[in-house]
Amino acid sequence: MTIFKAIKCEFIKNYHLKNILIILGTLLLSVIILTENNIQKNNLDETINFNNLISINATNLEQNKYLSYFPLKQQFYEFYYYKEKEILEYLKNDVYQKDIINRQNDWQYNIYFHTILKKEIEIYLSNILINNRNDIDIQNILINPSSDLFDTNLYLLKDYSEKDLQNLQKNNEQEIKELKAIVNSNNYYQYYSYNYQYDDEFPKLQQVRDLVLARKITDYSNYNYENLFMYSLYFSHLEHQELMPLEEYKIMSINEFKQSNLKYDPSNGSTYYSYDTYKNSYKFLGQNALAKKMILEYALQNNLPSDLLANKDGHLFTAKSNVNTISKLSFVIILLIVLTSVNIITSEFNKGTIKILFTSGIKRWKIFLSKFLYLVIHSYLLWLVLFIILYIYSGLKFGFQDLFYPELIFNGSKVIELNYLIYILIEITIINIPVVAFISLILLVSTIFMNNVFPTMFGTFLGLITSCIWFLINEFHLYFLLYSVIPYFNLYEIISVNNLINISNYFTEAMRFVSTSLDKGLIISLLTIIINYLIANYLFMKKEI
Amino acid sequence: MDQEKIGKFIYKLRKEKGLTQKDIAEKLNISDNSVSKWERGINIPDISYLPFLADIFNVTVNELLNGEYDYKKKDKNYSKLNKVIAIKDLCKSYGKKQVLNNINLDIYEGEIVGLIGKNGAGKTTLIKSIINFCQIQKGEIKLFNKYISKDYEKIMNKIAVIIENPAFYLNLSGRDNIKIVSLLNNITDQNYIEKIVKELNLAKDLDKKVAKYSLGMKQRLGLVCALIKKPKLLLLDEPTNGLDPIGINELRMVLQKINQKENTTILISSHILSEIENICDRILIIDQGFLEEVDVCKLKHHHKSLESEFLEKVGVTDDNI
Repeated sequence: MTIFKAIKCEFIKNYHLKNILIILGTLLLSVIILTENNIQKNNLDETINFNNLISINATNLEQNKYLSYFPLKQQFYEFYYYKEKEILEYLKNDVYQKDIINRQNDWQYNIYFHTILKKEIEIYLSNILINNRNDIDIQNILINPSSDLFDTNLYLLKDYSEKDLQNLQKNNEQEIKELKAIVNSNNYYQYYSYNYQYDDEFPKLQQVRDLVLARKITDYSNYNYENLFMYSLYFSHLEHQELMPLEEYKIMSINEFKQSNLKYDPSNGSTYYSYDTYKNSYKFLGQNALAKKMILEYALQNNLPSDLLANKDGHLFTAKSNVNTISKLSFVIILLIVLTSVNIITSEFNKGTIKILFTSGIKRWKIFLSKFLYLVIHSYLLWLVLFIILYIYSGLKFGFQDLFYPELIFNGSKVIELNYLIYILIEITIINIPVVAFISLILLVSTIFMNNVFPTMFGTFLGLITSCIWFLINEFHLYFLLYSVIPYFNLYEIISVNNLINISNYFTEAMRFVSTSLDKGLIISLLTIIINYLIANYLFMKKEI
Repeated sequence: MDQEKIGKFIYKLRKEKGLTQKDIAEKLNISDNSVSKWERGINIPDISYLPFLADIFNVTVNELLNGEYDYKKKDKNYSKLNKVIAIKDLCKSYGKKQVLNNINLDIYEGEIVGLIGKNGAGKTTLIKSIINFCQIQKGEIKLFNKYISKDYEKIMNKIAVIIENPAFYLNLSGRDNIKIVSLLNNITDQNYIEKIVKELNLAKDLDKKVAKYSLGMKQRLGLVCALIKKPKLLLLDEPTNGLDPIGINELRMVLQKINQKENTTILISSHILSEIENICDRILIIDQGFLEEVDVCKLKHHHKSLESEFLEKVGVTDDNI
């Protein structure tokens, strides 16, 4: 009970009108800047929300101006609307579904999911189109000639001859045959090149296949089905016809790769990682690929919005999209925390008010604990207030309707709908754990130095670099930092599944180096909290007045 | 007998009790005018009224006739009193400087003990050591017959401390500061808090920010925060700092009152020797880490002032000033 009273005293001391106004002003300004930055970054000429998505139906396909923003939805409606049930049945009965739990991290799964499946669907659809070619309605349907389910280049079906479609079918069938041959032959080749970008150049399919087949391996004893994830993505970008010099590619067996001493060398555009890192990072990506697929299916079946439905380069930006960027403001929370937590110990000693606490009959460890708990509660309150401001501002800017749709979460076995408010509260709780680690670090520093200047400078500096820590780690090769808590102060990069699509280069590189994950970030944060707290508490107990 | 002094004393006692002249007259079955004459020093109460008056004002007849409280003449039988502070062989140093040297001290319940010494003699350090604000190198300190490290919360609940200038949260009002102290010390009796605030003349300034308080107001606020705990032991380190003569007088009256009514033990350090002499039962001099009790009776016998005794003890003579 005394701890609760001491916490209440901390609130009386710190929550007065001036402080509250400063905090509210800072958070509001941050929200406005974030939102405007989001709008600018997404090149939003107009903002699209999920109501526009929901409004698309079979009767207004051509007229609906929002169609191009939702290619998958578009294709589903265009090609699948009347056949949707059959397509979904197809998806459910696909070959890899039977073994999906065991093979979700399998590179074969990725090839099937990303490439073979798409091509098989397109063959299936091409048959439908060919068989119904004379139907006037079908003729006006838009078709994607690049055979990529996620591409947005669209042309009218009537401009394509039956022969074109048959060729498309044939090409797809051939590709499927070749891919299946590679997969079934169990010939694994570790392939590393460079960070792939949409604008980068990719080899021709034939060249890559030749390279792969030329290095057939006879000894399969060490195979464990490492993935050729990159291959599947390359195959899907057939329009990239530029040739890459062969010497820029390194292909080696897994054994060779395990024994190699290749080092990270961005100067030639190449990156090489340890075998374990590669394996771990693609395990992470594979799990996310499965999650995305499941959420996508669920959203389509239940006519619910999901960011995954949108074009990756698209202009979808709803109120929810804006609120979901809340974790980008963690550095603002951290900076506000610095200003509060630095003073909480040092000013009490420097101004002598610590005597009020020490003569109160409350044991010192309880006093210290109450201050720590106050800062933890304070940090959660900051997040909560930030969320409320962001929620209201986003609703006013983009419309409130999207904010009432549930968030879709894949829990490893099925998709569940979670109330959006609860989802954000859970996300805030998780994101705040590294922030609490940060608090414990600042408390330790201020207890050691017993002045405001150094801890404030240290805390501010640390808070600012959290927003660009991954860039710094890669740019200056500070990989040892990945074993500390510093990169995890901003957990946004790690926990956001959606962010996987937009994942930045430097993040993927560092992530491959050490298998960075949400679990690891939380464990490191909790350990940091405990160690820093115990040391700071010990020092506090020994302080003389 | 000093009639005027007696009259003023009776006036003061009546005011403290909140009685009118009429109330006194009715109790003694005399006229209002008689009481008025006593207070104006025109004449003194008849000997037959003295015991009744003493009873009304809760003083002794002797005190009435002397026209003042007679604290120093309290005849305490220490063997029957509880020890509130028991210090044995206390040693404390800051680095190489030995500040307290084998201090032995017993303070009994209800005592007012004065502590005097030069600047840097160790008065504040002694008080801080008692309440575990600093680590001691050697020795044993018991408060209420218990070690503070073992029963910290129970012991500290009975103690109120003002060390050096009391510190407050300057951005908060006096009322908020008192609220914080009340919360931390589990004080819920709002009426008592208001009574103390009123007695120390802080009521009208309570809602102002402490940053705007004068030094005297801050001292009074510090006293309020100390007294609302209803402490059994009050440790005061130079509480008269910054107080004007009126403030010093008010402080003295408050301390004497709580000592008399609540039997609060008080250890007070001060540079104002006259105040120490007036209110304390015992006086201790601390010099170069050593503690020595002043023999007040001997001083009186030799017509010697406390000041000259103090200067002699600390080795200050006319030659070496």
